[in-house]
Amino acid sequence: MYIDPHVHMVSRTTDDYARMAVAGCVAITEPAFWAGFDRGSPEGFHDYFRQLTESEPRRAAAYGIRHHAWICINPKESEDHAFAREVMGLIPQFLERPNVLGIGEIGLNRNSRTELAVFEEHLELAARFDTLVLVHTPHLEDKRKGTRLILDAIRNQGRLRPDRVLIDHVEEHTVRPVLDAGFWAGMTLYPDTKCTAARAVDIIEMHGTERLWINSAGDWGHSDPLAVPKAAAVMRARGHAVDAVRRITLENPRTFLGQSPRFSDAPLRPTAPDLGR
Amino acid sequence: MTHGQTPLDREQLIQLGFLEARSRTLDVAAFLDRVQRARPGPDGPADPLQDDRVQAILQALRVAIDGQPDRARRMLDLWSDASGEPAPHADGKAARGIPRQA
Repeated sequence: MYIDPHVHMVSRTTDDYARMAVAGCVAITEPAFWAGFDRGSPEGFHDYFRQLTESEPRRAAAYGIRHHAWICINPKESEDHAFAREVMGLIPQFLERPNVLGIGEIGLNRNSRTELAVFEEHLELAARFDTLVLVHTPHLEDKRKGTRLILDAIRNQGRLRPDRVLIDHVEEHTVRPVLDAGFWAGMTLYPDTKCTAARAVDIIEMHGTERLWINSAGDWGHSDPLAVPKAAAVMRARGHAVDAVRRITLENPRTFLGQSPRFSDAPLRPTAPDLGR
Repeated sequence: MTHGQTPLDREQLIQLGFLEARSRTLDVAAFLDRVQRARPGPDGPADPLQDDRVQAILQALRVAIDGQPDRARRMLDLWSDASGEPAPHADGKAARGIPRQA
């Protein structure tokens, strides 16, 4: 059994749901993100948020997978501040939906002033509605600086408890400041960027299993929705006990996500007719 | 398990990872060879090894062989934007892999 706490199933096929179910996935969480092109209107986001809260839970349930969502306007589409504010105006109504855990994945992409301002406004929303927060840290050369700006912004805001915030996509140069500040840290398993499974296991060996999880962040790009069970196999090959693997892939996500009463990984009977194919 | 320690011993880890590391090291060498034998692009330097991305790889290789620990973290630090203030505007959506030279 495992939880993939960050995967973009709107970009994946139904076959991926079937493969994940067979691999032991019992629950997922899906943050709102950039779908590969810029949406031209707040109505486009409204439709996307409906997809995350109405359609995807049904698709997942057919394979016995509990689906949860995070709502936001992602940093890649927040450079137009007025537009971002219009979209943020839609968020409160979706925070009421039964599968929504909180605000995410907010954060920074190119570390711009507008991205930072929109990030801070999302933090205010999270504090006002007392939700969990899932934070995206930037890519490649922007990650270290962006992570610092993000940690400073959350500290300066001062109303969010670090243990209710997960800082995602950490790597060797950002994991320590995130954990030292009391936040949860996510490692994303990607073929070319972010972490490989071997490096994720290195980070676990160097920094322990406390407040750390792994995810596939499977999406429309080069990614693998089975990255979590594959990393679990690598962890076992590296000599780690079954209990340690279970902590990283199941118990840690359950502990963080379980701070929301809407999270569940209780068994769900699959109804998809093609599971035995 | 104490932080920093590995369940497997050194020999076991080498046995497990050597062929993959050998293959990836060879890929880096082949990449440099490929770049060196290609004709220059219209805007790139005549000397292929002067491209800032290729230079970043060569600098990282020096980290790999310097005998000090934390190589992965130090490579990532080497390839990181060292500025502190937010950028005035987002410079496109995609990161490049290493900072642009001023």
